Amino acid sequence: MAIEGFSGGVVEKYAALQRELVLMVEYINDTRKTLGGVTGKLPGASDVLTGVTQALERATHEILGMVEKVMDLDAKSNEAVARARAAAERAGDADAVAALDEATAASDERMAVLTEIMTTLSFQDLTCQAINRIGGTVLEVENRVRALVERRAPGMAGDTSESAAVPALERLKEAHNGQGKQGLVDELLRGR
Amino acid sequence: MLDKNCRILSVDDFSTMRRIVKNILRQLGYTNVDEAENGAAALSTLKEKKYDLVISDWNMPVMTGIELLKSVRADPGLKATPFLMVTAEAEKSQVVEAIEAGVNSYILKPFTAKLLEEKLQAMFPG
Repeated sequence: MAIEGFSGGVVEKYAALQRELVLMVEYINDTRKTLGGVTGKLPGASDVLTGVTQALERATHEILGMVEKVMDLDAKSNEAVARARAAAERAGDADAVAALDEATAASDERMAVLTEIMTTLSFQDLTCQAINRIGGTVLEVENRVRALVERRAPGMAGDTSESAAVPALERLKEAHNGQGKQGLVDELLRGR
Repeated sequence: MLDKNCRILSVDDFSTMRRIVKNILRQLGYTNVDEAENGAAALSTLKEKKYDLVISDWNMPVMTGIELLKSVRADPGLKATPFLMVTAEAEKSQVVEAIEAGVNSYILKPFTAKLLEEKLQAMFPG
């Protein structure tokens, strides 16, 4: 379509600029939708990481509990062996004393292995620290992406696309008291 | 050598680690062990009771191990308390920072019961 007062070259340039602007708008909208989708998934990712650390901690505590139980039983068994050894010594039973000494040595070895199992469980601390660092990074990414999406939203008046509404909706779901909820509802309404 | 009846404070935000340290100490004959979950809780406990040794992690919420160490060394009533850092922080700069702050010994995680025993012997010779 020719525009009055403009030469053919200018019109062509105007049309090309218009096409580029349309492409840019489409690109911005696609990006916003993509970012909106990501912000919806990221809280799930950090929740999964938290779940991993909690499961790891529970499992480690259970194993520790079992190791402690075996250690306690071993300590009781050692007391009984010591009493039996004293009785065998009093009775002059050299074979029994030797056998009970062997039992004590085996118990010491068992205790060393149990202690090693216990110290090996410190992997949980190191693993959880690493997971928590990753979780922190995921949360930071989430906050930045969310800020990006929200910064875009006010300039898109009348835009009710999912990406613009997702962050406020999510926070609305997360809100625990009436005051917070109302603030988010108002914010959601303003951005409508 | 550290008296077997001495009072030890184990500081770590991970309850698993506190439990592991406490168990290892028990294996080594030290049964008088209290726990704190961060530097601030430890500092408060240290001001209430006298401890012969603090075994602390570095990375903790509220107050880190290095902040606890600096606070202990800055407190006239606590500054002589032996302090052992047990941490995953292996950066040279952090080890130097701990040494400059007055740490008595430094163990990297994961560690063995034998290493803890050796460090305690080195800290409390004779």
